[in-house]
Amino acid sequence: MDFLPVRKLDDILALDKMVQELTCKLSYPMGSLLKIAGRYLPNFGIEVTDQNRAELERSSLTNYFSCWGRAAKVTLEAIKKATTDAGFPVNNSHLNDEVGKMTVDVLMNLARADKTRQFMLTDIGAGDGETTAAVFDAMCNEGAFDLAERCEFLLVEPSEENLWNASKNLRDHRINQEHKVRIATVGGTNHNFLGRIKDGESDVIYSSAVFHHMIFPTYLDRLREGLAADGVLVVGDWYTTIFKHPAFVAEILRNLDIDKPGYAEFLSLFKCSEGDEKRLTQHMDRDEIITNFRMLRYIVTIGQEFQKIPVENRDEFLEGHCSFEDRKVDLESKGFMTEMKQLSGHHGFSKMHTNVRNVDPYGAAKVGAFAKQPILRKQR
Amino acid sequence: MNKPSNEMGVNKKHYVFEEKDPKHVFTNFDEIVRFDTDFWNVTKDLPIRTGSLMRLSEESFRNWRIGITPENKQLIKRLGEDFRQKDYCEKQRDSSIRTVETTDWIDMIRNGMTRAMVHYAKEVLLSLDDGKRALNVCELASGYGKVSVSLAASLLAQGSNDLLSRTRFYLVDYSEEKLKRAVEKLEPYNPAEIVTVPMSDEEFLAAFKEKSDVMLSLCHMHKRPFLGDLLEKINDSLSRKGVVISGDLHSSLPSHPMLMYQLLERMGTENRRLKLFRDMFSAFMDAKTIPASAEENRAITDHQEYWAGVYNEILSSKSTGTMRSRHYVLGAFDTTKKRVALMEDKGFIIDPDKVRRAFPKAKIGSNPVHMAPGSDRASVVLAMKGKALKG
Repeated sequence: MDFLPVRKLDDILALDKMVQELTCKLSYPMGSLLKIAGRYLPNFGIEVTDQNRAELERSSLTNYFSCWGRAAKVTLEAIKKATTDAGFPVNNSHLNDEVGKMTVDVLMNLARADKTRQFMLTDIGAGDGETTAAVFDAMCNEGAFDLAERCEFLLVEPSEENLWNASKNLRDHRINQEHKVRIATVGGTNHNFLGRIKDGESDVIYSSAVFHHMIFPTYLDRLREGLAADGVLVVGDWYTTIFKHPAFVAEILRNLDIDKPGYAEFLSLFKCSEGDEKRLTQHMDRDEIITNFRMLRYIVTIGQEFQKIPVENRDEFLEGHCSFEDRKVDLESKGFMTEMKQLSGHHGFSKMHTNVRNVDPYGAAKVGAFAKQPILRKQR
Repeated sequence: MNKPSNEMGVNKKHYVFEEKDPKHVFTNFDEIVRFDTDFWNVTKDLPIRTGSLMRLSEESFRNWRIGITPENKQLIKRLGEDFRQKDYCEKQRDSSIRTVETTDWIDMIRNGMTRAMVHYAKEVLLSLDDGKRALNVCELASGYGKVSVSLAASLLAQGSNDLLSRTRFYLVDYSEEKLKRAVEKLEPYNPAEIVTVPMSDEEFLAAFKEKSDVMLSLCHMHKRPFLGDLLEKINDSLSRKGVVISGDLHSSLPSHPMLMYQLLERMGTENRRLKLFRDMFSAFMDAKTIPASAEENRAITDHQEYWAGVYNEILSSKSTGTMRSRHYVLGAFDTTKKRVALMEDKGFIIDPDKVRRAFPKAKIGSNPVHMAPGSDRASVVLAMKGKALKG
């Protein structure tokens, strides 16, 4: 089994299949390694090269789409219950709250700078419209009804069914009591759903709890192109390092009661020993440790809830989480300004003290606003 | 199942409804219980049932042939409370009830109401804050602390950590398990204190010695048949300039037997049951007696649509748990207009201009806040403490 690292696509897929089979009988299986953030794949013995990157990204999205296709109402309810039972202080709804507020703060600043400007706002991974509903709510709470009339919303979401629900839900939103808000949708379950965003069209692009499903930051290129010259990207997301290293994943598997041979094989495959996770933890700060511990508890609790639902509706636990610092590196490398000192002169950020807001006390959930850099720095 | 509490000396013998005077309004408690038993038996064993009449709002009882008197009020109130507790336990035991009853729309409305409530709560807290004193926030029927946790998250996100560190949260709920979870969620925000109270709201408020600056209640007041009593206690428990912020669902559907009958018809209820229902309320089925605005009528339609949707979901479900779960339609729902009138009657100030004058720096928009365009189905009301009208 000593064949790692692998770089040829066939070898990577063979490794992935082998690992998935080890955990497929668990109530909460691990799923594909190709859902882990690309920057952490080398820790799992997968070398990312210019030759295999696009294929890995395609496989990753295929895996995600297949997972989402299995999810039913019982799946979402089980996950929701586990979020509560695992004691997570916040959930996606809180993340949406702050994405909504941050988006409206930025928008009001842009509107103050140009009193006649019409705005296009784009929701990436719009789902059932919950994040856009939060933007509408923030507009209503701020009394920004007249601003709403100057806005058009574009909902970008791979699932046509979700988009249909989103349009229906948002039509019934209270913002339409005062003013009719225009909504357009872009859907299609293909791998290039972001490709349909027009260049320079969006003044604000916002997204909540979506980007941790993207393993490479290539999507940021498309979003940057989609933004107007002074456009702003508002991102709410989960930031953990629980899937950064196979030793952490091994700990999850142990807590999900993987059988002993399977556990031993997993450790041996990735050259880990029991207790490695403790050694790695020594280099982490308190918040990161607490966040990862809560994530572990969350995954285990979902595993318990999934025992009560049909096998065909069960999700898989690996995702592309990364640390907030790593996300910032990605954003900067793709031409976004991430620091408040860079943004203070930008009219979308006037009167703002900070461009990053913590939603979770331990930093696991944050909302950040990042502006497009005027000239893209040369990439390595 | 909904059986009258034995502790209350209620005769458990099944009573077969026999009409003597179709216009008769029951005031004797034993007769009311027998009539109610016959009533809930009409829809017994259906996936969606009316449930007991004891869930109705004080104002609706008469439309359903029950007259409230000083002699029977406390007995009816206690019996209603027993039913509410049973519903609560049933929902905790059977998670499929919640799964089926929580539609996308309900989820979105609850989140929207929470956001509006958090916005008003934050604006009031920031206005009251002098940078020194402790502030008390109380959430009634808090469950997992949805509104309190959202408020804490919002204060953290905007950097009001100092205010948060001086805020004491009181969480009131029957369920100790839910309170435990709520504390786990709220504790990381480091508020001044979290006090959990595993009892009913009225019991808590009667014993509450402190004063609350902000009282929160989400989707709860429509479960209180004698809401006026609760509102009086809330008013007494608020500090000077204290506010209660309530987000709630509204509808006149349970206010009149005719509207309920229409829903049962729509759900394809057998003729035998419909006839029993008609027989019980033959002199009370005139729909012309239901005055309602366009928004209130839409709320009735929305409410009926909601239950029809739940019914379809149950029928299409493959899960035997869902097929067996029990759902009750009746509740103490009212209209927003009536809620505001009741609050004003109990001494609260709702007029947005007056509220704005009391909190000049706060961003107070409309009050009440209607959550659905063209419909009175859901709203948030901010009610400021005024002079309590005793007696």
